Amino acid sequence: MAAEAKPERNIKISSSDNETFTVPRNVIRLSTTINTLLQDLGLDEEDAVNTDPIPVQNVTAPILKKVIAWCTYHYQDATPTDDADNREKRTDDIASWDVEFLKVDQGTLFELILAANYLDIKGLLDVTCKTVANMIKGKSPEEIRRTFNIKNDFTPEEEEQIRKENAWCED
Amino acid sequence: MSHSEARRIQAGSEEVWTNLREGLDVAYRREFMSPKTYMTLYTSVYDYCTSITLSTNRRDGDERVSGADMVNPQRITGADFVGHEMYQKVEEYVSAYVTAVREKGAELSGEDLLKFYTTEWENFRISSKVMDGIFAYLNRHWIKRELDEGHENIFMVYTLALVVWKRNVFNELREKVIDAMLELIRSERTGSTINNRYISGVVECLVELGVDDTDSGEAKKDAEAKKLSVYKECFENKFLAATREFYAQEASNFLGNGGNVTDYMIKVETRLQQEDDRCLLYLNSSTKTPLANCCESVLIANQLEFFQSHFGNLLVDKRDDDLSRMFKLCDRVQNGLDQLRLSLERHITKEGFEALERVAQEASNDAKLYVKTLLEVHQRYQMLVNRSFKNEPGFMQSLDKAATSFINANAVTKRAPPAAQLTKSAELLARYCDQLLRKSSKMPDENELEDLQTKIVELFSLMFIIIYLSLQMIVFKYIDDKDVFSKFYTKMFSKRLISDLSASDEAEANFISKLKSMCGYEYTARLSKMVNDTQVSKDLTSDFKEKKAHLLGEKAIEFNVLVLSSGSWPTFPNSTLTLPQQLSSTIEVFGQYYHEKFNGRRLTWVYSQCRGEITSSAFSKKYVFTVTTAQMCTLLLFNEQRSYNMEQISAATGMDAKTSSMIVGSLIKNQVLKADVPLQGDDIPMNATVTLSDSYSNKKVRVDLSKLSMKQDAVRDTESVQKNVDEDRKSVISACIVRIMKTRKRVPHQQLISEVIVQLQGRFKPKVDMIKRCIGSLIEKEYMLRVENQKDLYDYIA
Repeated sequence: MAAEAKPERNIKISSSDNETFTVPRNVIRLSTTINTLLQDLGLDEEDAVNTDPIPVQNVTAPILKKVIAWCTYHYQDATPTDDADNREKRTDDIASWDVEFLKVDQGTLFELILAANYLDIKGLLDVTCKTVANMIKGKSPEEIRRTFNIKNDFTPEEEEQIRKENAWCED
Repeated sequence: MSHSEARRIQAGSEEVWTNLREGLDVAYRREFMSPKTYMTLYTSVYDYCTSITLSTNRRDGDERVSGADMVNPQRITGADFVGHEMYQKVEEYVSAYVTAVREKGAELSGEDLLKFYTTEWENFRISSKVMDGIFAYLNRHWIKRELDEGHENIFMVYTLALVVWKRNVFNELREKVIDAMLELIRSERTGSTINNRYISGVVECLVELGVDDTDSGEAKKDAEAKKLSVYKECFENKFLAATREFYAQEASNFLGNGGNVTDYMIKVETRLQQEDDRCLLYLNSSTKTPLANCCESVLIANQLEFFQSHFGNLLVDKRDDDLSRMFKLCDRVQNGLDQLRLSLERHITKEGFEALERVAQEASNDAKLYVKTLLEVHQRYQMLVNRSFKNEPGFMQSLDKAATSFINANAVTKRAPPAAQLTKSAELLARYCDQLLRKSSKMPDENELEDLQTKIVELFSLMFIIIYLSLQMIVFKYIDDKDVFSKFYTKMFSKRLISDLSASDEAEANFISKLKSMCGYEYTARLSKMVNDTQVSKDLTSDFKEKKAHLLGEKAIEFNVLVLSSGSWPTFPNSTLTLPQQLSSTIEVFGQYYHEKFNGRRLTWVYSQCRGEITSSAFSKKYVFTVTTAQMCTLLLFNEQRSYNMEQISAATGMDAKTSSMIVGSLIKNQVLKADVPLQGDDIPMNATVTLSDSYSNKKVRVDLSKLSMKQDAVRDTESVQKNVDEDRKSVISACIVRIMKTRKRVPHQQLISEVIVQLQGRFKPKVDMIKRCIGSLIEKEYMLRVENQKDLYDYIA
């Protein structure tokens, strides 16, 4: 890539609570949202002058920091090809680094999912969602409710009705 | 995200849109947009979509939406409704924008219109990209789900922009825009310089507008194939039609004004190149082939007759460059070369005939001139086919066909007697081979020992021979009756071997191996056997000399013997001759030696093929004469007395009157002898008295007296070969029939005939009636029989 020959360009982004981060252009590329912005606004051009940081309005500093850390680790990964989308979806293929990285409290994990969705970072979104899926896997509805602290708002009749409708997946 | 926040956005969806509209205005005015603004817009779309989804639970969602969504009553969830509302707002916004654009462009035409259209398009594209980025979340969620569910008439935001543009701007202006493009291209074709950016801009737009807004269901499946559909449909078809018309006009103008063929070809070449460049420069690359086809069909295919009508003249004028040009052009269209191939064949045949016509008189007897003439014609066209026609197989075939026809039948063969016409070419070729392979008569006899210089000359001549022999193979390739050639060749080859006249063993071997590779082992088996015989004989002679020298006595004569197996060599005329004692004693001793060595073989001495050397001291100076056996016997008589009458000579040598008068005649011609009666033709009358000619003198010391009689042989050879050929062919055909019958057991007549022809065509072209006669004689000889009650079916008899 031609960009690699040039000195690494840095992009400034700021969190919702106004903390500024400096991220290499190639790292922030993983966020399709930021990447599209840079392209659309012509900020990738040689003569582009932009001193203002890009405000990432929906993400707080601690989360943004984690997101940047994830991107920094993964930015050299091969871009997944189209047929990766068509592959069978699995939840047991999370890389060990990611497993370690995602050993965080539930709140942080959900914030990361939101941030990944907002910033359109497909890899991070996948891996965080898989982590949540693994938390649900093999659990009864009651256990799931406990895990995620969800109040059961079904009436017993409703619950019976749903159970009937979904009898096929019970075994 | 808190509940209250979501509700705020929900309540303020009008306000959200107002902000977005302002953002879009900035984008579509191509004004500066800060990252902050961009992110704010993006975030508001994000929040708008997500908060509604999060805050709307199923039950109140149903209530709120039902009835509100009149377009699609089955869409019932809140997110759907919100997404759809935003989607419609975007569509309305873009529609309004492009409608304004269209109105601005409505009055324009020509180049102004193109300038306007390409500029507006480019701007629209950039702005729409920004819009697409701002609405990325809508793309990723609501629109993506709609697409996944197979809803029609929903597009990603950017695509939506294109669809709207196409509907509102392009479809309205397209007639004028395309016409303006075609007009611009036309003016470039007539020599003006144009701003091709106008065209490439529209072309890019057309390609991008390849999104299909009509039948999205199917279109999406083969999206790749349909990608260029707008370009093809709206532009390419018209463009090709215009191109066709333009060049048809140009061609007819040019040719109508009597333009010459070279200029036309150069023009076509230039035009084809220009169109190629044009495509590369500002059209879609998929147009390259159809465009080339279109030009080729108008400029070449439709003008093939014009090309063809000039091909002959170019050949006559040897305009190889133009021929090459024509070849390349005609090669581009289907069947373009067919007529040219035929013309070439006709032309070469004609050239061949004419070339031989010019030299017919001399070439009938001058094999060298004959073959040289054939080769010249062949080489000229071989080179043409190679350089101008790139060795295209069809053209090579034309050359082959033409060569076959003029080599086998031409002015020279026509001059031959009717019976010899078919074999004349083969004969002359064989004769020419003989000339080449024979020791050059130009080599002075005395200087044979001037070794170094001679050897260099020999080396050169060897190289020359090899080169020439390979050229000759070209002619040989086309000779129909290769067996005739073989007959002549064998005859002359035997003469070279017997008389030790070969210029080089290597060249002989080389030629034989070439014949072998072209015609197969069988064809040259006889020649190889002949070579072998001469080798064996050399060893035999030296062995004999070593072992039996003591039996020959002191005054032994120097001699060499060639033992030739009778089957492999041509039949030699056998003449009676009484040998002088010097010779007969040696022969006797050798005969004994041979019988000791090979018991049971019969040795026949063929005097007619022998040569000898005699040294004479009868004249003013010493001479060494090379003579035939008969000449030797005759001359040796003059050791006894100075003059004889013919009767005496005939009696002493044992030759009949006719032969002796011929032999003596040859000696008189050479002025070694003189007679009291003049020669009658080549012979001396039997009533003559012959005397040794005292006054004989020659500036050479070595004199070859045998040559004269050999020339006479040549004439007789030709006659006998022709007689023999038919007999030989019959036996070859018979053998072939028997072979086929043996393997097939039962064969229908027609198949038998065609198999024989196929099997033998490498050697000669068997005539059907000759095959029939052979079948008849084989039935008589009971090799095969006609199957009873079955017409035309034969059985083999073991």
